[in-house]
Amino acid sequence: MTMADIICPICNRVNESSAERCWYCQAILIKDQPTGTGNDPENDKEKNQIGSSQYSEQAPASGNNEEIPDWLARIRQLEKEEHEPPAGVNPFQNGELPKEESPDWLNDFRFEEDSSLESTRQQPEKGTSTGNEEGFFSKDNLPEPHPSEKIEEADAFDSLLAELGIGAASSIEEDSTSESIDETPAVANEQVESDYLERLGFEEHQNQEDTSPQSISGSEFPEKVSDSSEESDEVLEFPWEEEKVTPSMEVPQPVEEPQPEIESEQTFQAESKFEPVEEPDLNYQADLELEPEPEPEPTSPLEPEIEPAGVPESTPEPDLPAWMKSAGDDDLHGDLPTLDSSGIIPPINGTPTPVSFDDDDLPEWLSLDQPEEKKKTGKPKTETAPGIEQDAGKLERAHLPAWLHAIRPVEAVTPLQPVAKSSGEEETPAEKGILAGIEGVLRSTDLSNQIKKPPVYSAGIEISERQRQNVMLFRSLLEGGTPYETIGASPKVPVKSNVVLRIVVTLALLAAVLLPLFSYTSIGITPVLYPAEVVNTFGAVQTMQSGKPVLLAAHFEAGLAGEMEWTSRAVIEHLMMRNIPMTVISTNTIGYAVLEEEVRDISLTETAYAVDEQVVNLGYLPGGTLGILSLTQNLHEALPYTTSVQPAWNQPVLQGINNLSDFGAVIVFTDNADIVKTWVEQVGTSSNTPPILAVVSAQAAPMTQPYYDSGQIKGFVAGMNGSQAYEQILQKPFSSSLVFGSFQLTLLATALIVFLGGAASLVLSSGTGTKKVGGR
Amino acid sequence: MNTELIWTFVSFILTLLVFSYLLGDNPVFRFVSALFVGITAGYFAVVILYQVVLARLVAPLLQGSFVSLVPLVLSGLLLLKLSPKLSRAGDIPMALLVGVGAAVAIGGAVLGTLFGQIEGAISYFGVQPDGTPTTVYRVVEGIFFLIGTLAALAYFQFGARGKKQGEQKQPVLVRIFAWIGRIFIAITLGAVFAGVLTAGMTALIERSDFLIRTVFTLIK
Repeated sequence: MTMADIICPICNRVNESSAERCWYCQAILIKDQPTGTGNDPENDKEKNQIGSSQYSEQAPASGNNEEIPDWLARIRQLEKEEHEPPAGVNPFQNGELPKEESPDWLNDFRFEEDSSLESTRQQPEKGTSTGNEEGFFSKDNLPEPHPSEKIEEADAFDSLLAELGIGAASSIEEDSTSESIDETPAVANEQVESDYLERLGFEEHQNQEDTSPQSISGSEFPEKVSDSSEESDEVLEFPWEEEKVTPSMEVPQPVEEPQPEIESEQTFQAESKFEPVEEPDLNYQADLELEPEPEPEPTSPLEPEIEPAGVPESTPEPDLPAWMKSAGDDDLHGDLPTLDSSGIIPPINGTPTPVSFDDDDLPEWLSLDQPEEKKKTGKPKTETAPGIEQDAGKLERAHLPAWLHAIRPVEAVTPLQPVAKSSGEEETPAEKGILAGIEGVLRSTDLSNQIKKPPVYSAGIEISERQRQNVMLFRSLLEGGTPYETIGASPKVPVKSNVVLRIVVTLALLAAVLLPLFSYTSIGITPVLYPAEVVNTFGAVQTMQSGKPVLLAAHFEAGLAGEMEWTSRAVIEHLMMRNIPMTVISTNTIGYAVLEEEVRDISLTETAYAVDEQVVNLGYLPGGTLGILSLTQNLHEALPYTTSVQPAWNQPVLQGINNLSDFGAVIVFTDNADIVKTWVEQVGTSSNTPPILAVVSAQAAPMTQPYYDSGQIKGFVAGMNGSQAYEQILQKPFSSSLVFGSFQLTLLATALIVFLGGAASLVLSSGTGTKKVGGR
Repeated sequence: MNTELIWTFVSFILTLLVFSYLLGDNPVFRFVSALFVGITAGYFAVVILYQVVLARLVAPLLQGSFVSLVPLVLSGLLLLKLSPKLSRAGDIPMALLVGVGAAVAIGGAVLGTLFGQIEGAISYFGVQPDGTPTTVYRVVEGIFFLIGTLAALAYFQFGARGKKQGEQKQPVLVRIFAWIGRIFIAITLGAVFAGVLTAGMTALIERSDFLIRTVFTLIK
């Protein structure tokens, strides 16, 4: 703190004497308020005088500082400078600012400030130096330069500082003492630190120019940064960029010069103390970028002190401690760039880093953290981004494990489709949700478009018409009702059609039956060839002894009694013609009654045959197969009584009959082929058995034929054909011959109906099968 | 009035009622069916009572034949089948009936049908049953019958040999004979069906003739 500083009554911070408002709290400063330790009204007066005498043209502007803010004053000053051409040669170009123009107090102030700057610049190297600072300025890490190189670098550095107007380091080193370091107040330390950082920024700025010039171009900087740089350009001057020097910049502003210097320092201090906000951060970076701000200070009262710095060789070496001397040599002479003949700092070839040292000297963690350190130094993102992108491009793309990939909620719902996002989309802030407005937020997939309303299934069961009918049928069966009543009218149609079809078929058959009966001419065709079994039957009956009775065994049902009556009529009539006695038995309860009725009915036509004397009805033979077998074992015990419960074997007809073989023949009347087989099996296998003949129904003829072919039965008459043949052989046409025409026509009609019905069924079934196949 | 005419008229009415089935199942048809079943059962009971129980059980017992007690006892045990507690006593007559009936049936089938049919098949190639020598026609007929018989038997041969692949397949010769036997069996069943149909048509003709005659008789 200098003597001209003013302490703010509000925040108790030191401000420049010329400041109207506190730089920190913007409170109005009171001029009469006691200043710092060195506050001297005389100095203020001198200061004002200098300002008024040397820069009289600036006086109105400065005189209106109480009413016009600083920024407005600058703008006006700029406008004024633009309208007014430059008055003369840049005084900073040669560094020849008259030393006598600056007052002594200001020179002292400059000297003290620079000495304290140099002393404080070395303090962080020893005590609180960071890694980065160690990397730049650590004595241990830096290589030891050659003595001759040291001398050359020191000379170059001194000349550079002289041109920059910072002040001769050598002179500062000469004049600076340890006492000045100890006596340096806190504010001075901050100021010195800012100078140190400014120098550091200068070095970095130079290195950045060398390594990545495109990153320094104003196009990549934010506008605010460029604005701030422009502002600084307005006030500051870069001695190595002559082409950028404007006449307005060359105009010295002795009165206000300390103010921008303090402004820059205070700005840096304020930014360093408070949390960095974006805008101040940019200013801070701009300040670091444009660290040469203190170097254009040749316009400041320090200018006269630069003059002796321009001759570093003549300056005696000050009595400095060894550590300070070595540190100062290393720091100031070893790293600072040197000017070439044209006055421009040449770029450092090869090394992108500001300080070249062996990587082995750095620890591994430090070498890895270099990019982060670069960020800490305040480099803008635009500079570090390309390097990061390059590193990111070299890294192997990460792959999630399968289990983690499966449980990710977004990808579990949405298909894995790589969404091509531009960099602009990635950096745009989120639009929805609690993270709305925050940049760098990963956008989740919009699930609203992919969420579909789940289908709603009805609780009912969809059934087909056939299933519905089955359900109704099952329900009607459970309830005991008629299923056709509940199913509907559709099933009744087949019933009506069946009735109609049945009636039609019946009428057709009746027509076939009745037509020959009412016709006077014979429609049927009489066969001329007689079956062998019928002929053999006729022959067997014809060869029987007349007095030897035959056993007539009947076994047929009442339904076929009419057929059996017609079939057996010729044979029985033949027996009557031959006056052969007949013994009637049956293996079922109906047969003997029907057969006896048949015999009695036929006897009406054969009046010569005495039925009551010649015919014995032994009735029912129980036991089936066993009963038939018992006939061969004991005939009298098997058939003890007649149907009138009279002893059978006492009948005159059956006298002399003790065994089955005593009968002239066994004639089986049946409608079942199994009865014939049973008779053959049980009776035909015995030694003394009469010949077995059969009068069977038409339905039993196929199964009786083998027994005839094998000779086990002598012959048989089957159905209407056999009866008609037998009558033909007997030459007595009876009922069979009368109805034979009807019989033939009915069979023809039946065969036709069966054929048509089969064809229709085949067509319908094939159509249904086709539909089923098609349906499947 | 002649009883025969009455029974003829009754028969005529019952026949018409049975024919009413052409119009479908109806109470009249069911009444006639029930009437026939009842008459048959009654008639059967009377026949059994008079021609079995009285003639073959009671009458011998009354005549002093104690042998008839055996069927009486067995019949009594058979009646015990009606009682759940004593039904096991009826197993004896049932065993006797089944055993004796099976033995008689098997014996008759072997001796009467199997041997008789084998002998008859051989006769086609030798001496005829009547003692006359065979003829070429009978030999050809015998070969045809023999093939038909073997083919029908092969058709009912369901045995097969297993193979490595697990599938079971009949020999080729068996399969060929089975296919031929299926034809013979179909022809045989067709003949049986034709016989049944013919028997039915004969019954229809006989009933139709009865109705016409009855009508003519009533008209006269």
